[in-house]
Amino acid sequence: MSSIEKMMFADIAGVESDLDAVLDIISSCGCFHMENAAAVHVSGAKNTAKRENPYTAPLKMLAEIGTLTGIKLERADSSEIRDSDAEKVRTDISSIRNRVQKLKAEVKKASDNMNAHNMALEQVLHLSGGEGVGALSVDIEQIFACKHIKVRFGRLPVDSYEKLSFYEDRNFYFLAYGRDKEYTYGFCFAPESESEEIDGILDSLYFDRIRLPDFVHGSAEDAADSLKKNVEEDKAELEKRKKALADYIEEKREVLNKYFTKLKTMHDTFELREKVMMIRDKFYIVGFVPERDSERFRKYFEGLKTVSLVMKPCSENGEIETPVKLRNNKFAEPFSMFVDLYGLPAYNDINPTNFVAITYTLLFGIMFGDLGQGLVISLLGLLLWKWKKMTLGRIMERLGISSMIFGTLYGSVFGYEELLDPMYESMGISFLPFKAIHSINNVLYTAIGIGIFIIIISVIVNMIMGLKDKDYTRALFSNNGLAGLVFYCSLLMLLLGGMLGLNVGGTVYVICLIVLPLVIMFLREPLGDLVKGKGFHIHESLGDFIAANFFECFEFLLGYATNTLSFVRVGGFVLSHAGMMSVVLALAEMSGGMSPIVMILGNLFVIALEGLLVGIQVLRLEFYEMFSRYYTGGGKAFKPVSINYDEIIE
Amino acid sequence: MNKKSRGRRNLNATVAKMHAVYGKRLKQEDYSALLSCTSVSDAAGYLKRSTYFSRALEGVDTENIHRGNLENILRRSLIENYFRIIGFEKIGGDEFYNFIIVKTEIDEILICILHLNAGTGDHITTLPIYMNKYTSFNLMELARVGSYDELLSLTEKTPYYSILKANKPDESGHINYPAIELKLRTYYSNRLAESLKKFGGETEKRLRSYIGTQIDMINIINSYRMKRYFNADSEEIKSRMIPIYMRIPEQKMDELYSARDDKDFLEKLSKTYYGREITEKGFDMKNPEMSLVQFRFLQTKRAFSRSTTAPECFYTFIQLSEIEVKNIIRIIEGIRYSLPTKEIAELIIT
Repeated sequence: MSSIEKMMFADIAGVESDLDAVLDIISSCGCFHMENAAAVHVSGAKNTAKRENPYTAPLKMLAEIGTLTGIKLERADSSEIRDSDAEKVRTDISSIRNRVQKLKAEVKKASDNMNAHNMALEQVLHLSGGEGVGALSVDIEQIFACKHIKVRFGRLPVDSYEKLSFYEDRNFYFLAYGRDKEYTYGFCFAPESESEEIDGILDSLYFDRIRLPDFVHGSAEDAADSLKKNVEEDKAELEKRKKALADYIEEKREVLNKYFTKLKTMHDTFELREKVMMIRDKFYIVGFVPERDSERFRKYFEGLKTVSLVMKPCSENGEIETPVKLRNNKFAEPFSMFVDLYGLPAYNDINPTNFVAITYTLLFGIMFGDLGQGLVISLLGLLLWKWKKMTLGRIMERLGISSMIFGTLYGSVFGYEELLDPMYESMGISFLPFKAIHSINNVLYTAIGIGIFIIIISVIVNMIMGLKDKDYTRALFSNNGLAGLVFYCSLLMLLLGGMLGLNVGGTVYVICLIVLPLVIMFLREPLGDLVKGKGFHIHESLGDFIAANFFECFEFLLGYATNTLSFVRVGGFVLSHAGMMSVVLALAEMSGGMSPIVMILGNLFVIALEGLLVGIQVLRLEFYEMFSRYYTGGGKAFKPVSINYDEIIE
Repeated sequence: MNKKSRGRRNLNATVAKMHAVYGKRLKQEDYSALLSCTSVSDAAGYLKRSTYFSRALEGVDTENIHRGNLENILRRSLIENYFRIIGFEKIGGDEFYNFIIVKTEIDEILICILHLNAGTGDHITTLPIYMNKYTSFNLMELARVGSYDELLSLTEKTPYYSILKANKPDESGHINYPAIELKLRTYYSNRLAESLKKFGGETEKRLRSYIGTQIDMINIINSYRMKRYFNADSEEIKSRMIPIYMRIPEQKMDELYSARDDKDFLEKLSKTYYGREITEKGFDMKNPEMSLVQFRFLQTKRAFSRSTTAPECFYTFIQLSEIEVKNIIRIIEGIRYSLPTKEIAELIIT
């Protein structure tokens, strides 16, 4: 049974020394929805209990460790760490962070070394005429032997290289010998006396200078060999440093997870103070607890003698909107996703999940009836739920089964419309009334019939809700109330009678059951006031009233017609499914005797395309044709206080 | 094909492309990750690994990158994106879509004048040399300009010449930079407005309104700064504002400019359309400058998400892309100069 969980309003007061204990209860019980106490306790000199959170700094250190090492901290059992150990935990984290920083710096140093040597190697390879682009065979000894010329090896970003012409009057020469997408490689010659100035120019052009290690002498080939050896050694060193960091983190992972869990709990609990109101040395906390958890919640406070907990029905709390927690049966539960999407019901409203679950499942099955494809959808849903924990997967399981049931009724299996015929024949059934291809009119009339039934049910639900809220305009006089229902049903009877050649109607019928309800809808607001005992009043000028209500009534009439016809799409999709599958069958035949590949691909295509389309169309029917008649949404979700272990710090 | 019908070309593919590119923009988590970087190379590495800037940074050695070079690459990537989009359905021939080139030319002329006034000559470092083939004068020559006469000579055949000629240096050789900036920016706004005419209908109306409100906001932000930091008088403020008005009439703007001080300015602003909007949207006026900037950004975001025609979409998309690049540059500079993360985060517009 779907309903809305009954809530109790909880008002907690106590002395400041007990505040932390109370917040601990609130954050760990899992059933307390906290509100800002300032909304209720408005008198006296008040303050929030918010202070600087002492657990933010150590959590930030943990976040830094996470960033530096790439590990994801997770929730762990931290029961062995007491609250009084907070200082020790902080010191410990600080020393781990320092150690990680040191190890990380060593990794970076090793990596920088390797990069420097790699870059030098790249330069030398260019010079030696091997492996490089635009190689230049030069003896490094000779370059280093220059006495009055300074040589800089390196690379310039391509944009900067273009800017070199700006300095053509300067006394230096950049010899480029290689280029890729981002850099031009080369070396720069400048007189020793001007080298400082030229270095400045190169710096301003973001020249990456590549320093050749001291040991790089001799011929370019020799230099390249020694650099290659060097790079190999660097690689080994880098791996060693990385391993040292990884080993250290592995060693500390467990303790870090424990610290994280403890600190995060304390941090998030401390953050709750923002909603706590202090009046002198007393604290006040307000919130909501589901009625079924109220006794359990009360027991938590038995040990706290100075804390008072008052729980009362929500009807006695006028200041804060009561949050909503839906209670659904197993079948309907996943469909609450759609209700959430539209907006939760208000606390005193109804929970429409059951209605959505039933109508959605039925309509989907009718529109996408195929025994084989339904099975695929169900299995896919099962996988999505088991592997990815997707709620949509659970919905797909149900929709698939509905699709299978209707597929059986239609006699459709993976597009084969005759596959089940022998089975039906053996049962003595020779004609399936809803076999889409053969009974188009049946399908379309039935679709409209379903639409009419659903609209009537929606109006009845709206009437019940209106009566419950004592909103007589909504329940009796509106287009979705009694007047609308009488008008709609009478009009349908009239049309149906006409189609079947029956003598339905007559002047009395038309006046009493069609004209009168229309007049009532026209006057719905003054009539609503009249029933409430406020007299028959028109609040605006008569002209405005007539004009506005004339157009609104016209819109109601259009609405009845379009909403009913909107359900033709249900039949339309039954036909389009059969049509699409006949195309797949034709293609399979064309590609040589029912090609299994074409059949599989065609079925997958139809499942994906039509499954999605039908899913969206049914949702549209739910939201526009049904919800718009009886449901407003706008409720506030019940969110029990909890600790968010997914993020180290928000 | 007449001018108007060309302006109204169906460019749905370009619109879709821009929305697709915008979908790859940096999200809050990207900014958080960048803010947590401790070095420029870390930030560059993140941009290369985890954002759509990977394309711009492909082949760049982020481990050894210089901050200035990274900033240049990001700015270049903005321009490359711009050319990629206008090349998609070949709309580059249209005057309107070239606004970024005009803006670059004006920006570079102004930088040149700043260097002339300061007597320094390192304009070349930040010069967007990749724009050289699109600009109406040679950017390399602009970097070489050593006197105002040389600047005049270089820009002689451009529309900027008449403005520059009418604002020659005084006898001491000092160039009135604010006056030239105002005239060039006004010229840019008018040229942009002129180029909108061919679109006609709602597109022209909405773009005109959007650009007009942006100019209003720029004037409000600049005049507030002048009032707050220099307590400038009404006349001085007005002489430095772009004389284009959209949602606040000139007379009301004059009242803002003549506010007693910055508090009075905000008080008067609160009674205008922008003041009401800013309050309504819940911006915290404890930091009015940032709130005004954030509000301006919000308007651009809205204009982009509601835009369905290529000109509106294009103009707002480029504004959003510029803001994104500026955000990244602020983070990189903050990291380079070791600013506290909180301070850098306050400068980010999201």
